[in-house]
Amino acid sequence: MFNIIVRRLLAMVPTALLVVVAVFLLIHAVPGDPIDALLGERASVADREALRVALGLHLPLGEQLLRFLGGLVQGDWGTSLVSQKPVLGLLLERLPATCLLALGAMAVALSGGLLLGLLGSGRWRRGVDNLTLVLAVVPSFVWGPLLVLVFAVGLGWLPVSGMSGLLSGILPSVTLGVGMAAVLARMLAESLQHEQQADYLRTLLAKGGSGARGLWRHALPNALLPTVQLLFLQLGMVLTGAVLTEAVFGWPGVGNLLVEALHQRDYPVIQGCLLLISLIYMVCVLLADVVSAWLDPRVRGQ
Amino acid sequence: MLFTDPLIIDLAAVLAPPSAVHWLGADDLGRDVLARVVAGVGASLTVGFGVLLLTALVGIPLGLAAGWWGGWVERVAGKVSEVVLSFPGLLLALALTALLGPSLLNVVVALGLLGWVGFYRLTRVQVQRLRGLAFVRAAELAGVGTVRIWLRHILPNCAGPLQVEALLMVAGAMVAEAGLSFLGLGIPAPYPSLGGMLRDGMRFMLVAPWLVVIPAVVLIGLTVLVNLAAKVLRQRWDNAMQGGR
Repeated sequence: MFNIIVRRLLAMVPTALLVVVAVFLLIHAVPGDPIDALLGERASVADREALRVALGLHLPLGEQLLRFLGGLVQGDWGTSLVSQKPVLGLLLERLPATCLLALGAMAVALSGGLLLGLLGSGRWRRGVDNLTLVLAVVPSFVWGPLLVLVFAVGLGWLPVSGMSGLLSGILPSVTLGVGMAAVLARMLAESLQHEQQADYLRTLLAKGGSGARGLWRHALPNALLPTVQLLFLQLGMVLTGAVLTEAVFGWPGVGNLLVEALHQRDYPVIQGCLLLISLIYMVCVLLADVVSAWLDPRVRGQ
Repeated sequence: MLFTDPLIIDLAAVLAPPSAVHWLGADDLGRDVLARVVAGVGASLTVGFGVLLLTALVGIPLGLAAGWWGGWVERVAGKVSEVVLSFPGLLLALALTALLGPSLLNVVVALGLLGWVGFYRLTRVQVQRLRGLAFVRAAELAGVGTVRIWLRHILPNCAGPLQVEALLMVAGAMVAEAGLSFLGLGIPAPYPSLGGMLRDGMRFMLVAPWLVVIPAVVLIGLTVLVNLAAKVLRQRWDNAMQGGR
């Protein structure tokens, strides 16, 4: 088990490095000059050059990359062009709100997914299948405004936007979690149906075992394996989904930070957000692998 | 009626509810919502099929080459696709369009740069599966040219999965475009897009709820429709494969 984790971690290093370089190149090689964005196009040549030197943008690309990598290792993720604050600080400031949202969404996804998945393998197979298909393919930012319209504007039960107290977290969590719940439910329903046709379950029923016991003790634990793996993959996707959900609700998280930075062309902040989100994503993919190895001896043996 | 200019401003109709003149009402600048929805769906489909064209043209030939010959094509394309996949999908598209400057073309380019991986991986696996089969070996031994084998024997035999992937690609691109436009980083104002209409509509939820409901319903309909089509296509292909054996 320990070996698996170490091996996967080591395998992740080159990819992570490539991702860091890719983010750096994306920011630096894409047309569009941060100097233009900062000073406007009418600034004098002398001012532009001065700022270019001050930001280290006059150096060759390779040297900039090395400086950037060195800074990353030392915890220096650059400085925001707009607010002049260190990027890492800005990220850490916004991370708790996003984590809270992710937690809420996972709770919705897990409970909704289990419920719909169990229903979807039983009597209401068709109806649940259609429902989860719609919930799974329609993106969160479409459900968000509709939920706000009904529960905040129409019924007045919940706040429209912002982060203040427990109630304000409900709509964002549901918005972000409902799609994941549907995907989980589809996965669970499918593997439950698969398990229900398995020989061991037929043997149990033939020996006179009860259907409910067969479901809870035997079919469900087996069917949960792929579902748990999917859950961790979704945890990685939550942060991307959070960008849109946070925009809908004005939630003060990393996603909103990224969107603000993109609008202001605040390159170091964009870079930091992209890095943080993709690294978290990679760690979640890794966790999905490790958890499935831990739960399933067949995967462990490979 | 359908062909009203979606950019024309009718100040008398600002935030007007649905009526005989404006069937689905008018937005905060008095622009006809029906015309904007029609144009927005058009933009959405343009992005969807533009991305499909781009990704298929890049991904399928690469997948054919990598699956057939292996070697450095497979190694390089494999590593690149691994890096692309280790980013969470929409994020890169978001950054790319924002940095390139929001426009319909840049949305297509950004989504295309990421989407080809899907076609590449699918085609490569299918080619590897077919490569060892007797009829392909026979064609090779009979001296049929490689490109001809690809076109006549390989591609028709993976048409089903490729068609399903194509529809899912269109659906994914349309959703991504709506998301980018919702953030104001997709199709730039004043040009209509369903995502942009949804975001603008949110500011007037109290006085004109239809500005949110209409684009949302259209978006739901559009994505469900394309995904259902993909589902039907997959079932038909699966049945055909089972029937043939």
